[in-house]
Amino acid sequence: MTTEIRDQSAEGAGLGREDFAIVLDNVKKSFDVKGRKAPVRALRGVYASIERGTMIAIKGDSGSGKTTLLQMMGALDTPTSGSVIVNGKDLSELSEESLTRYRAKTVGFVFQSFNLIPNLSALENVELAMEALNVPKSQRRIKSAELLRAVGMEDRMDHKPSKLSGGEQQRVAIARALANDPSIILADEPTGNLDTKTGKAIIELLRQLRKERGKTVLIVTHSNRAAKACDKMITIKDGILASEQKRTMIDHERGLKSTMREVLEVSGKVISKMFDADYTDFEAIANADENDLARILGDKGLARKIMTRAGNVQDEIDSEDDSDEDDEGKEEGDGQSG
Amino acid sequence: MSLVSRGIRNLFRNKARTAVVTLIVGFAIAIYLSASMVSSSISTNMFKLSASLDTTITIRSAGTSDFGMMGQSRGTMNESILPQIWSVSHVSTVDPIISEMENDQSSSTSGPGFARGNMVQGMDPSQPIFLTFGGTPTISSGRSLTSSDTEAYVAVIGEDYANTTGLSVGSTISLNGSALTVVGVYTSGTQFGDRTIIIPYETAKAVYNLSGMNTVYVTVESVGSMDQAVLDLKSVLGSSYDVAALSSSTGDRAGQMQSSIDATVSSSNFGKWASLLTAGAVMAFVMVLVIRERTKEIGIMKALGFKDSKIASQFVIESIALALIGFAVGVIIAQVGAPYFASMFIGSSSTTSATNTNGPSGRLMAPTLNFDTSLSSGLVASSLLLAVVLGVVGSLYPIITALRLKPAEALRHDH
Repeated sequence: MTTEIRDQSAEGAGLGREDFAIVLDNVKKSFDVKGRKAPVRALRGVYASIERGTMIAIKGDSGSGKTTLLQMMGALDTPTSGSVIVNGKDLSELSEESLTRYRAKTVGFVFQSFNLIPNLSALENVELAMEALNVPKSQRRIKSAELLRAVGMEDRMDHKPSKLSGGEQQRVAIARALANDPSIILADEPTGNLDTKTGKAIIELLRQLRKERGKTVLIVTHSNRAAKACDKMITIKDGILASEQKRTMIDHERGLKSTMREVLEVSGKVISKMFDADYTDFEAIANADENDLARILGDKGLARKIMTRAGNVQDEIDSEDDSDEDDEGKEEGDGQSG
Repeated sequence: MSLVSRGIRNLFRNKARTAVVTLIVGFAIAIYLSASMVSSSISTNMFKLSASLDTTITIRSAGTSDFGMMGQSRGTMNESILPQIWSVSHVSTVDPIISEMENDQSSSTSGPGFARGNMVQGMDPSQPIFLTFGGTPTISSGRSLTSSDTEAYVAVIGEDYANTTGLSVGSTISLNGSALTVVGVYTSGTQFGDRTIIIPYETAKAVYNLSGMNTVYVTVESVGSMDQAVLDLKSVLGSSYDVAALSSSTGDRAGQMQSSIDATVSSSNFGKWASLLTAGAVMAFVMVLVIRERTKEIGIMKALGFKDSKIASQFVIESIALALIGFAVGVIIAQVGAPYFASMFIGSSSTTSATNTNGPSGRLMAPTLNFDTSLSSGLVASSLLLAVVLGVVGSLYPIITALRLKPAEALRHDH
């Protein structure tokens, strides 16, 4: 199963972009925030290829950019740069009208706070999604009832959201997401407002959708339990995929080591030149010809500083030697007297 | 559920707010309707009113009067000034008049009338007879003067005069030595006027041996043109002539009435536009609130793939429905409270001046302004259209602003 990150991306696997449900190609998103000079970088270059019919968990801490990523995939927002390619089509190349149709037809959303229209019944909420595509009223009604039955809400169809529990509302939201038979379900924290048991049931329902209807399901979640129920998990951290971040870290580390090597090499050369000129101990450095040392180090100020420091250190050593000798003399004297 | 029914159902999501808004909009529309009724009534009455007001200007030789009273002479004016008078704008009639006293030495008539003095008025016989003293003469026996009487020695006499002198149709009277046949007797209901002897203008010239008239009565098109016409006539005729409104008090009253009417019209117009503006502002404010509250809902609809035009339509329908309920409330309030609202604009001063315009000339009638406070279908239809426009305009700005948001931004919106 081919999912996620750069080295396993479409090209890496020898597949074309059209072979995947979703391909994210260096997706970046920045926001201007009031009171901050620099824009907030919510996504810092995300690469991923998501195979059709898989159920993927996008996991990460609050503010890591996972909801933003989901919104890019659902065309609810546009990336600052990079491409979101869904079923082979680059969303940035679609007209506003095509994007509207894409939202209605290709993706179905499930939100953490359900986002049902409060003065419409469960049935009407599901119908609403079909109204966007001008589905005739009679068909809307039949299909909505069918979907609500499929999510176990057949007895609560005429209830308004305020009369439904959280779990029931989320089931209605899932039915609504399925209304126009989209190939991709994007669920943003679908269990976030639910207790563990209900959350588990909702995840099971989404799994069932993937299995029975062949939907590609992406779930943004904090929950390890929900993530584990998915086929794959993408972890996002500070706006990039964790695996991507690790790669960056290694790059930085490699860079640092190489620089360190260069430093050591230069230092070694300097030290070797100093040894060649018999500057082998502090005393020799302290008493060195300043111009000669400056020539070796390439800096007269540095030469003077090193000579002063070396002199100080030598003085310390000398004074310690003197006190050692005194102590020895004392011990001898004491021995003699004792 | 259709777009329309959803839009209307949304109105009842916050029943208290909808009730308050429809009441405010209803009152504003009621004021608009009432102000429109007042304006339209005033316009209807204006014509009657203007027609009934005395718009007569008198022209005499400088320093003279009609009757040579108070030591003044009855100056005679040359008829050559008549074309000059006609040349002035807004002049609608020009009546040269000869006024003489019947109790001259030469008059042979005697009796009580002699002692009091009776006026002889020479006028164009083709015109309906009128009295310079006021009152509206109607023929009680015989006939009036006609265009065929231009140079005839005929007279129409007042009933009072006929009674005191024993004259009747067919009798002969002698004026300045000339015999004239009485062809008609008139009555005007005023004793003063019923003693005048009306004879044809040319006959008067011949009888009194005059070369022209001693007064020209000029009427202008409307009260509003009076002042300008007086100024223009003065400028055309020069200082040898006195040009004045027939009665200064009539002029004053007419002016007062005009300014009163102007004030009423402008206050009702102000009320009309202020109420419309209020209704518009309330609608816009409420729609800003509604749309701000439901921005997240707009985000949901966008996420579900609704076109912006469909989302906008839902909110515009909601706004129009709100305005239409306001309109219905407004019509009911206006129907019940129209007289009260009308009195707000008309006030008492203008009605008073409108009903007390009896001038001394008698050419003034006493018009009463009747304000029609029933709603015309045209007015209802126009305010219905206005309500729809209010609904559309009130919702357009907030919905356009909300639709500019990306779906993700709208979804993040918490009111």
